[in-house]
Amino acid sequence: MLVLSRRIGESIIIGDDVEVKILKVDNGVVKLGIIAPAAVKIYRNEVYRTVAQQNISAVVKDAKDVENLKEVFRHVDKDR
Amino acid sequence: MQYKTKLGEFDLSDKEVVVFPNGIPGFEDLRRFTVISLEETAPILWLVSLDDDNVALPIIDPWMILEDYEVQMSQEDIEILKVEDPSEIVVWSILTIPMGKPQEATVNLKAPILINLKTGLGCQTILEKYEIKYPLSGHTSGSEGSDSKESMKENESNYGGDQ
Repeated sequence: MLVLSRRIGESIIIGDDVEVKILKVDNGVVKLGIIAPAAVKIYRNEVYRTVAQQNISAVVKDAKDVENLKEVFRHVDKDR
Repeated sequence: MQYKTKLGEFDLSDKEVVVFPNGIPGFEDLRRFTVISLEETAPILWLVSLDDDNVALPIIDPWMILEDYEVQMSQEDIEILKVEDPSEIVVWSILTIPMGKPQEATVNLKAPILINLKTGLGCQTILEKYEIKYPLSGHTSGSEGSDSKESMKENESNYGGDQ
Protein backbone atom coordinates (compact mmCIF):
# COMPACT_ATOMS: atom_id res chain seq x y z
CA MET A 1 0.00 0.00 0.00
CA LEU A 2 1.23 3.45 -0.92
CA VAL A 3 0.81 5.97 1.85
CA LEU A 4 1.27 9.67 1.19
CA SER A 5 0.25 13.00 2.62
CA ARG A 6 -1.67 15.68 0.77
CA ARG A 7 -2.87 19.11 1.77
CA ILE A 8 -6.26 20.61 0.98
CA GLY A 9 -6.37 21.57 -2.69
CA GLU A 10 -3.65 19.09 -3.65
CA SER A 11 -4.35 15.99 -5.66
CA ILE A 12 -2.99 12.68 -6.82
CA ILE A 13 -3.14 11.17 -10.29
CA ILE A 14 -3.94 7.46 -10.67
CA GLY A 15 -3.00 5.98 -14.04
CA ASP A 16 -3.29 8.35 -16.98
CA ASP A 17 -6.66 9.87 -16.42
CA VAL A 18 -7.94 9.67 -12.86
CA GLU A 19 -7.33 12.61 -10.55
CA VAL A 20 -8.32 12.59 -6.89
CA LYS A 21 -8.29 15.97 -5.19
CA ILE A 22 -8.59 16.70 -1.48
CA LEU A 23 -11.34 19.33 -1.19
CA LYS A 24 -12.01 19.55 2.51
CA VAL A 25 -10.95 17.95 5.77
CA ASP A 26 -13.34 18.44 8.61
CA ASN A 27 -13.49 16.61 11.90
CA GLY A 28 -12.24 13.28 10.56
CA VAL A 29 -14.24 13.52 7.30
CA VAL A 30 -12.33 13.95 4.04
CA LYS A 31 -14.18 15.30 1.04
CA LEU A 32 -12.70 14.11 -2.24
CA GLY A 33 -13.19 15.39 -5.75
CA ILE A 34 -12.66 12.75 -8.40
CA ILE A 35 -12.07 13.55 -12.05
CA ALA A 36 -12.27 10.39 -14.12
CA PRO A 37 -13.50 9.27 -17.54
CA ALA A 38 -17.17 8.30 -17.69
CA ALA A 39 -16.20 4.66 -18.24
CA VAL A 40 -14.47 4.44 -14.85
CA LYS A 41 -16.84 3.27 -12.16
CA ILE A 42 -16.39 4.80 -8.75
CA TYR A 43 -18.07 3.21 -5.77
CA ARG A 44 -17.69 3.70 -2.10
CA ASN A 45 -16.24 0.39 -1.02
CA GLU A 46 -19.21 -0.37 1.22
CA VAL A 47 -21.69 0.08 -1.66
CA TYR A 48 -20.02 -2.66 -3.71
CA ARG A 49 -19.74 -4.89 -0.65
CA THR A 50 -23.39 -4.35 0.20
CA VAL A 51 -24.42 -5.43 -3.31
CA ALA A 52 -22.16 -8.49 -3.03
CA GLN A 53 -23.69 -9.43 0.33
CA GLN A 54 -27.20 -8.94 -1.02
CA ASN A 55 -26.42 -11.19 -4.00
CA ILE A 56 -25.06 -13.86 -1.70
CA SER A 57 -28.11 -13.76 0.56
CA ALA A 58 -30.44 -13.83 -2.47
CA VAL A 59 -29.17 -17.24 -3.54
CA VAL A 60 -31.95 -19.71 -2.99
CA LYS A 61 -30.91 -22.40 -0.55
CA ASP A 62 -33.40 -25.11 -1.30
CA ALA A 63 -36.36 -25.96 -3.44
CA LYS A 64 -38.78 -25.14 -0.63
CA ASP A 65 -38.06 -21.46 -1.23
CA VAL A 66 -39.48 -21.83 -4.70
CA GLU A 67 -42.82 -22.88 -3.29
CA ASN A 68 -42.72 -19.92 -0.95
CA LEU A 69 -42.49 -17.56 -3.89
CA LYS A 70 -46.10 -18.06 -4.79
CA GLU A 71 -46.99 -16.73 -1.40
CA VAL A 72 -44.82 -13.68 -2.05
CA PHE A 73 -46.87 -12.82 -5.07
CA ARG A 74 -50.16 -13.29 -3.36
CA HIS A 75 -49.00 -10.36 -1.20
CA VAL A 76 -48.10 -8.26 -4.23
CA ASP A 77 -51.42 -8.87 -5.95
CA LYS A 78 -53.21 -7.85 -2.80
CA ASP A 79 -51.28 -4.59 -2.51
CA ARG A 80 -51.44 -3.40 -6.08
CA MET B 1 -25.11 -28.52 -24.51
CA GLN B 2 -26.28 -30.06 -21.24
CA TYR B 3 -25.81 -27.99 -18.06
CA LYS B 4 -26.33 -29.06 -14.48
CA THR B 5 -27.83 -26.22 -12.45
CA LYS B 6 -29.47 -25.56 -9.11
CA LEU B 7 -32.85 -25.94 -10.83
CA GLY B 8 -31.99 -29.17 -12.60
CA GLU B 9 -30.42 -30.08 -15.92
CA PHE B 10 -31.06 -27.96 -18.98
CA ASP B 11 -30.10 -28.40 -22.58
CA LEU B 12 -29.07 -24.93 -23.73
CA SER B 13 -27.86 -23.58 -27.04
CA ASP B 14 -24.91 -21.16 -27.07
CA LYS B 15 -27.36 -18.33 -27.67
CA GLU B 16 -29.04 -19.01 -24.35
CA VAL B 17 -25.79 -18.70 -22.40
CA VAL B 18 -25.20 -15.19 -21.03
CA VAL B 19 -21.59 -14.29 -20.30
CA PHE B 20 -20.90 -11.86 -17.46
CA PRO B 21 -17.32 -10.76 -18.18
CA ASN B 22 -16.86 -9.49 -14.59
CA GLY B 23 -19.15 -11.96 -12.88
CA ILE B 24 -21.45 -10.21 -10.40
CA PRO B 25 -20.50 -8.75 -7.00
CA GLY B 26 -20.05 -11.60 -4.55
CA PHE B 27 -19.69 -14.07 -7.44
CA GLU B 28 -16.88 -12.53 -9.42
CA ASP B 29 -15.64 -15.93 -10.62
CA LEU B 30 -18.95 -17.05 -12.09
CA ARG B 31 -19.12 -15.95 -15.71
CA ARG B 32 -21.78 -18.04 -17.42
CA PHE B 33 -25.44 -17.72 -16.53
CA THR B 34 -28.77 -18.34 -18.17
CA VAL B 35 -32.28 -17.08 -17.51
CA ILE B 36 -34.75 -19.86 -16.78
CA SER B 37 -38.48 -19.37 -16.79
CA LEU B 38 -40.50 -21.83 -14.73
CA GLU B 39 -44.24 -21.90 -15.02
CA GLU B 40 -44.65 -22.71 -11.32
CA THR B 41 -42.74 -19.61 -10.15
CA ALA B 42 -44.02 -17.05 -12.68
CA PRO B 43 -43.71 -14.06 -12.71
CA ILE B 44 -40.40 -14.80 -11.03
CA LEU B 45 -37.66 -16.05 -13.30
CA TRP B 46 -34.22 -17.38 -12.44
CA LEU B 47 -30.71 -16.22 -13.10
CA VAL B 48 -28.91 -19.52 -12.91
CA SER B 49 -25.16 -20.04 -12.84
CA LEU B 50 -23.78 -22.52 -15.35
CA ASP B 51 -20.44 -22.58 -13.52
CA ASP B 52 -21.69 -23.39 -10.01
CA ASP B 53 -24.78 -25.55 -9.62
CA ASN B 54 -25.41 -24.11 -6.15
CA VAL B 55 -26.17 -20.64 -7.43
CA ALA B 56 -29.64 -19.62 -8.59
CA LEU B 57 -31.06 -16.15 -8.04
CA PRO B 58 -34.76 -15.31 -8.31
CA ILE B 59 -35.29 -12.31 -10.61
CA ILE B 60 -38.23 -10.18 -11.61
CA ASP B 61 -39.12 -7.44 -14.05
CA PRO B 62 -38.49 -4.30 -11.94
CA TRP B 63 -41.29 -2.39 -13.69
CA MET B 64 -43.70 -4.85 -12.13
CA ILE B 65 -42.57 -3.50 -8.77
CA LEU B 66 -42.06 0.17 -9.59
CA GLU B 67 -43.85 1.55 -12.62
CA ASP B 68 -41.59 4.55 -13.08
CA TYR B 69 -38.32 2.69 -12.49
CA GLU B 70 -35.39 4.11 -14.43
CA VAL B 71 -32.08 2.55 -15.37
CA GLN B 72 -29.28 4.80 -16.48
CA MET B 73 -26.50 2.75 -18.04
CA SER B 74 -22.99 4.00 -17.46
CA GLN B 75 -20.38 4.21 -20.19
CA GLU B 76 -18.73 1.17 -18.63
CA ASP B 77 -21.97 -0.84 -18.82
CA ILE B 78 -22.36 0.10 -22.48
CA GLU B 79 -18.82 -1.07 -23.19
CA ILE B 80 -19.13 -4.33 -21.24
CA LEU B 81 -22.43 -5.21 -22.90
CA LYS B 82 -21.37 -3.93 -26.34
CA VAL B 83 -24.65 -2.05 -26.65
CA GLU B 84 -25.58 -0.78 -30.07
CA ASP B 85 -29.29 -0.43 -29.58
CA PRO B 86 -30.79 0.06 -26.09
CA SER B 87 -33.82 -2.02 -27.10
CA GLU B 88 -31.55 -5.08 -27.05
CA ILE B 89 -31.16 -4.74 -23.28
CA VAL B 90 -33.33 -6.53 -20.79
CA VAL B 91 -33.34 -5.55 -17.13
CA TRP B 92 -33.95 -7.82 -14.16
CA SER B 93 -33.97 -7.19 -10.43
CA ILE B 94 -32.83 -9.80 -7.95
CA LEU B 95 -35.24 -10.85 -5.22
CA THR B 96 -34.14 -11.78 -1.73
CA ILE B 97 -36.58 -14.12 -0.03
CA PRO B 98 -35.73 -14.84 3.60
CA MET B 99 -36.07 -18.54 4.40
CA GLY B 100 -39.55 -19.28 5.64
CA LYS B 101 -40.56 -15.59 5.52
CA PRO B 102 -41.65 -14.86 1.95
CA GLN B 103 -43.70 -11.91 3.16
CA GLU B 104 -40.41 -10.18 4.00
CA ALA B 105 -39.06 -10.51 0.47
CA THR B 106 -37.19 -7.54 -0.94
CA VAL B 107 -36.20 -6.46 -4.44
CA ASN B 108 -32.77 -5.09 -5.25
CA LEU B 109 -33.68 -2.05 -7.33
CA LYS B 110 -30.27 -0.46 -6.77
CA ALA B 111 -28.23 -3.07 -8.62
CA PRO B 112 -30.16 -4.47 -11.60
CA ILE B 113 -28.93 -7.20 -13.89
CA LEU B 114 -28.55 -6.01 -17.48
CA ILE B 115 -28.46 -8.49 -20.34
CA ASN B 116 -27.79 -7.71 -23.97
CA LEU B 117 -29.91 -10.20 -25.88
CA LYS B 118 -27.99 -9.62 -29.09
CA THR B 119 -24.44 -10.10 -27.80
CA GLY B 120 -25.29 -12.51 -24.98
CA LEU B 121 -23.36 -10.33 -22.52
CA GLY B 122 -24.48 -9.41 -19.03
CA CYS B 123 -23.47 -7.29 -16.06
CA GLN B 124 -24.85 -6.07 -12.76
CA THR B 125 -24.77 -2.32 -12.56
CA ILE B 126 -25.12 -0.15 -9.45
CA LEU B 127 -27.43 2.84 -9.73
CA GLU B 128 -27.24 6.07 -7.79
CA LYS B 129 -30.92 5.90 -6.96
CA TYR B 130 -33.10 3.23 -5.41
CA GLU B 131 -32.99 0.87 -2.49
CA ILE B 132 -31.08 -2.36 -2.35
CA LYS B 133 -33.85 -3.85 -0.17
CA TYR B 134 -37.07 -2.47 -1.58
CA PRO B 135 -39.92 -4.25 0.20
CA LEU B 136 -42.06 -6.33 -2.09
CA SER B 137 -45.17 -5.87 -0.06
CA GLY B 138 -46.58 -3.24 2.25
CA HIS B 139 -44.48 -0.47 0.74
CA THR B 140 -45.90 2.89 1.78
CA SER B 141 -45.40 6.34 0.32
CA GLY B 142 -43.69 7.36 3.56
CA SER B 143 -40.65 5.22 2.91
CA GLU B 144 -40.37 6.51 -0.64
CA GLY B 145 -39.50 9.89 0.83
CA SER B 146 -36.42 8.48 2.51
CA ASP B 147 -35.57 6.77 -0.77
CA SER B 148 -34.96 10.02 -2.62
CA LYS B 149 -33.07 11.50 0.32
CA GLU B 150 -30.72 8.53 0.23
CA SER B 151 -30.00 9.00 -3.47
CA MET B 152 -29.26 12.69 -3.01
CA LYS B 153 -26.81 11.90 -0.28
CA GLU B 154 -25.03 9.48 -2.55
CA ASN B 155 -24.85 11.88 -5.44
CA GLU B 156 -23.04 14.28 -3.21
CA SER B 157 -20.48 11.95 -1.72
CA ASN B 158 -19.92 9.36 -4.41
CA TYR B 159 -18.64 11.45 -7.27
CA GLY B 160 -16.59 14.51 -7.93
CA GLY B 161 -18.23 17.65 -9.18
CA ASP B 162 -17.89 16.94 -12.89
CA GLN B 163 -19.53 13.53 -12.99
